[in-house]
Amino acid sequence: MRKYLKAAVPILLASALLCSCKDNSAAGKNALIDEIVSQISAEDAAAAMNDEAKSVTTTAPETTSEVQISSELTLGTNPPSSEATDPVQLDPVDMDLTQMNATMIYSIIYDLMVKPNDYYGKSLIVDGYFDTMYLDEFQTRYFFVVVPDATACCVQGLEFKLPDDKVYPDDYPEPGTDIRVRGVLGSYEEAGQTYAYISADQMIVK
Amino acid sequence: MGDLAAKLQLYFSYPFVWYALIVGLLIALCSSLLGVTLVLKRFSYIGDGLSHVAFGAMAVAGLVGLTNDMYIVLPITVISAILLLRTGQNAKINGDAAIAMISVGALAVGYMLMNVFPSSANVTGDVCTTLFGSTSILTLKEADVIVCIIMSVIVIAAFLLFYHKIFAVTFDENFMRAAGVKANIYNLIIAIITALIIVLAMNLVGSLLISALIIFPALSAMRVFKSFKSVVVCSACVSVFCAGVGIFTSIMAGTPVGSTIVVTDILVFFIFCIVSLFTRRRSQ
Repeated sequence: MRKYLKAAVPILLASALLCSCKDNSAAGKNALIDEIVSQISAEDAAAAMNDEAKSVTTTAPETTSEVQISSELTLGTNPPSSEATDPVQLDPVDMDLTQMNATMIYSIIYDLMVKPNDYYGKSLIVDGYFDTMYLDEFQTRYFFVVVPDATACCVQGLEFKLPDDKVYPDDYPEPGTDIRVRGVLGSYEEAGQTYAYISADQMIVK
Repeated sequence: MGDLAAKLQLYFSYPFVWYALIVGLLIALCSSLLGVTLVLKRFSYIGDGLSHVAFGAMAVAGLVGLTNDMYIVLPITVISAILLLRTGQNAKINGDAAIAMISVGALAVGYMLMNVFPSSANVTGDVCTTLFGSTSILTLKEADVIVCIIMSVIVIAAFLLFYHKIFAVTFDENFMRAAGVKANIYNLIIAIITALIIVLAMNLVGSLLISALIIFPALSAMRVFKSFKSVVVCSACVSVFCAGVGIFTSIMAGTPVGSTIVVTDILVFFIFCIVSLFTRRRSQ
């Protein structure tokens, strides 16, 4: 018996080698977001703002959530000291990422991008810095709240969409500005891919 | 205290935190088992060398455009491990020189390929993630956890099954050969297991910190215990404890996972050093 077991171990090891090949397709999708965020820094944001401000209309897909949050937008100024403007105080959310540390926020957003189905319809609030990019291919401008990890070498960009009446660049801050976004997680299809986003009803410049 | 418990409860409501804990503890256990053998065979730095090989292989996989880089990373790492461990003393370039050569060579080639042929726009992020683990351990999926459990079971089973042979090959390979036992086969098994653990551990602490997982628990245990068996058992306990404390601390304090585990290992090593001072005085 022991002899057979010894013979089986190298075979099992070889099997383990083959089985351990993990699927990185989700990471690839995640890399697209990273790439998008990275491309933004290379763009001349100011020039893009002027070119597209007139033509871009942001399409906010229907949210799958039943959660109702007050549709209030605070931009360009620091939030008043009144507690009423603090989204946390307004209404409890399913996931308050502002109360978590960098490691957990980064991990949750990564998980959210990889397994969006687990999070659809949940309300959340997240802090990060604002970034945006325009893709000629889809004639669409994308907005992100970008969250770095604990080592500060990796970032996760979570797309958000404000209501249709908010126009870029007037209703949005400069890229790199610290923001807080509150909304409900939804998804949309583009070029055969499903993407998660925050259907945001509130963005505060911190 | 109540806040801390509530926070802990909230964090552990996310499955990926459980995955990180399970995988972290299993990798720590496996690496410590083999760590004792590698330290005693004067191959403490093989973890570093092989992880750099894996880093270089990842860059090659990115260059080829494979969605699953493990198809390249694992075979290359295993072959390198076999070459380093099996050639032993008969090779023209042996021991630490061979490891150093492969280590820095693979690191340099990997970094160059990543920069010349970047697979994503965030090269710095990719390099940082691979070298320091970043938050990789907190981004595992169910499939990764299952693979890790299977491989850990195989590693532990192989270690227990070949315990006596590994013991013999660790202390006196020549005597083993003289006794008619094929030492090369056991060196091969050790090499394959080492490569498996290193590729797995890259998710946990990153390629620069893997050596710490292998050597610190073994060295800590050697401060206090003297027999092979007791050192292995103590090393496993220390490694699992440090990984657990490191992951908990990292999740709660927001520190990088890999370096937190290694810092915990270092602290435990110093504690064991102090304990060994007391025990030596008593025995004298």
